[in-house]
Amino acid sequence: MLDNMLNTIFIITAAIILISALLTITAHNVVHALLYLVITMLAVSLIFFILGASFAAALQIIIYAGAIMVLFIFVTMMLHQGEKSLAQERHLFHFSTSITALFLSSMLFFELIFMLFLTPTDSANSRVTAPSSAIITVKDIGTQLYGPYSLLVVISALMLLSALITAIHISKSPVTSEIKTKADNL
Amino acid sequence: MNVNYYPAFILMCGALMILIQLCFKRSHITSYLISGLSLFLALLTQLFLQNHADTSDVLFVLNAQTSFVSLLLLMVVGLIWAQLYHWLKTINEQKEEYYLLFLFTTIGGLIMVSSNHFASFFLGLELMSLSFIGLIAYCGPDQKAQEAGIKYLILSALASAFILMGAAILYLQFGSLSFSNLMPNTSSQILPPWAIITAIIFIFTGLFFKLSLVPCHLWVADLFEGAPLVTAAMLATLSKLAAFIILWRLVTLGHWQQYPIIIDILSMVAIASMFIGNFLGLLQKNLLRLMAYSSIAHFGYLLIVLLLINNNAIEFSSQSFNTQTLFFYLVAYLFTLVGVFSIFMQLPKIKTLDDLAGLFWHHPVIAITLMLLMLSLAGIPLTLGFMAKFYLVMAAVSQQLWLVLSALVLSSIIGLFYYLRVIMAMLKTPADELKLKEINSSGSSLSLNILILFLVIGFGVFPSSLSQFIQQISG
Repeated sequence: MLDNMLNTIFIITAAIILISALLTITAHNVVHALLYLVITMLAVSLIFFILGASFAAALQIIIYAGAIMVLFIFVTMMLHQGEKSLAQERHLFHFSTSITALFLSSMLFFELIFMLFLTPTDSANSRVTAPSSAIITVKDIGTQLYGPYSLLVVISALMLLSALITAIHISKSPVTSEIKTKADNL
Repeated sequence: MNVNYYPAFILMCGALMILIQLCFKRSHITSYLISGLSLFLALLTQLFLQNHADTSDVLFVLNAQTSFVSLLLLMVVGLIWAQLYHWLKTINEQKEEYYLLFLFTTIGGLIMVSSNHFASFFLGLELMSLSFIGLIAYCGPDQKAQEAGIKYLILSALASAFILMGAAILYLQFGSLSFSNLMPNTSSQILPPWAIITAIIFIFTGLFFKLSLVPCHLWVADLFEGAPLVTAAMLATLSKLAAFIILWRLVTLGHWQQYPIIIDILSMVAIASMFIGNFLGLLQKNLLRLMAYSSIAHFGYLLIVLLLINNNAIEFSSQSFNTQTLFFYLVAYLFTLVGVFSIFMQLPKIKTLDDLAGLFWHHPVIAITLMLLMLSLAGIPLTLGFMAKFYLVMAAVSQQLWLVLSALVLSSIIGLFYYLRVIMAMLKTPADELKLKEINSSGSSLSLNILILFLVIGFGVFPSSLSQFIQQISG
């Protein structure tokens, strides 16, 4: 009974992922695409939650959904041009265009509510986990990351460093050359 | 910490020292010396570890073979490094970051060749490709370099996505990301065989992008032309070596040759790469594009080694011979290619075949070196390239792979044509003497040329010492 319910929830969530991912790549408007991308991330985190990896689910929301929102806010802030951009934003956030996104995310929300409060509590601890997978705690992840997989942490740190250096160098060099040409013109 | 990690650790310390030095004072020569010192120390440590390495843990496997590949990788990177200072002086950019990214790519390659786990393989791959994006788009205002950087960024992201998907499907079947658990166990078959074959094809697609084998080869010529010369050399050697070693390990450890369709795909890709690579090179005027097409063809030849893998215990002796073939071919091809690229670095103004005209009459040493390297790439006797091809043909004959063997022979003949065209171009009377006057023919580059010649011709005439060494480690 419980398994059946979890399976249904899983299938609905997976369908939401597919639909919103398709909408992400077909949307002509960047803002709409971002909105659908956030929904995709939320749905993926719900699947992590169903599988018992609640930490991964939280990370998914914090890093992906959160970072995309922050990026979005930054871009709108930087490109803000007073009344003109306000009108543009009104055009972007027309309610009728965001109705699909609202519908999909409310479905995810109801699923979550359903799992948290409405599932029968008789099957003890493993209430919201799929069969045969234990709940993975933060402590487990920590002991793994600082135990056998500690080198991976170092490697990923190096990877981020190299990406940072690359980004700084590439974004810096055209500016200096522009300044040089400006100085030449003067 | 395990003593086997020291080479990568030394390189990491070198990179971090350059980073600290950048905080205080920018100095090109200091960065050059720090990176060189760390490469040299890493090389020495790796040489010392050659006889001691035999451990494996969750993430890495360190035995005589991976240690040999790491040694080869460090030697190739060291030869490229030797040319770096003079080349970087000519570009109009901040130079110190290049050494940082250079060391990071090397670390990524080292991680990849000895990885024993999809996580370490993937992180090493990403470390390498992210640093490569920086190296390719290093000369900022150059339109072509930026275009090449964007191309590499998108394609390597795509390749990584394919590899991740394949790894995820394999994880579903085997319940572990470790390479040593990839052995198919028929008793607990969760997924149907077609799903596993799909996963294998996904991983192949990703790695074929890195190796620029035929269906995924379209980027390579633009990248070689657009990227800075040293980066092109690194792409042609380091990145391809690491990707090929991973491919070989995966096919060997996962027993992927048990699926007939995988064998078919590999032989089709091999034959197509040989022919298309050589045909595209046939009428190519640009030297770097020519090298790009020749590298497609050469990795097509190397794919034959994967077709030879046979895990029958009875044929174990031939298994060891296949490993020898792989290592010998890699050594021969990489050293020759590094030689060709270091010659190109000494000829900064020369881009096309016509520019080469008359090189022989003005700079005979450089011209003769390039001539012999081209002969080695074509596989003419008394060079290292001939011995490598000889090994490959022997191995293919012993397992009676007549189809790919005939493709190898036919496409080698086509390839010979454009290698000889380069030599013919050098013997022509010069059209424009000015370009040839600017060639840097200092003592250091002369000694490097002699070293490369010594390697290519010396091992070509007396291959026994090299082959005995390889026999030892792969036996």
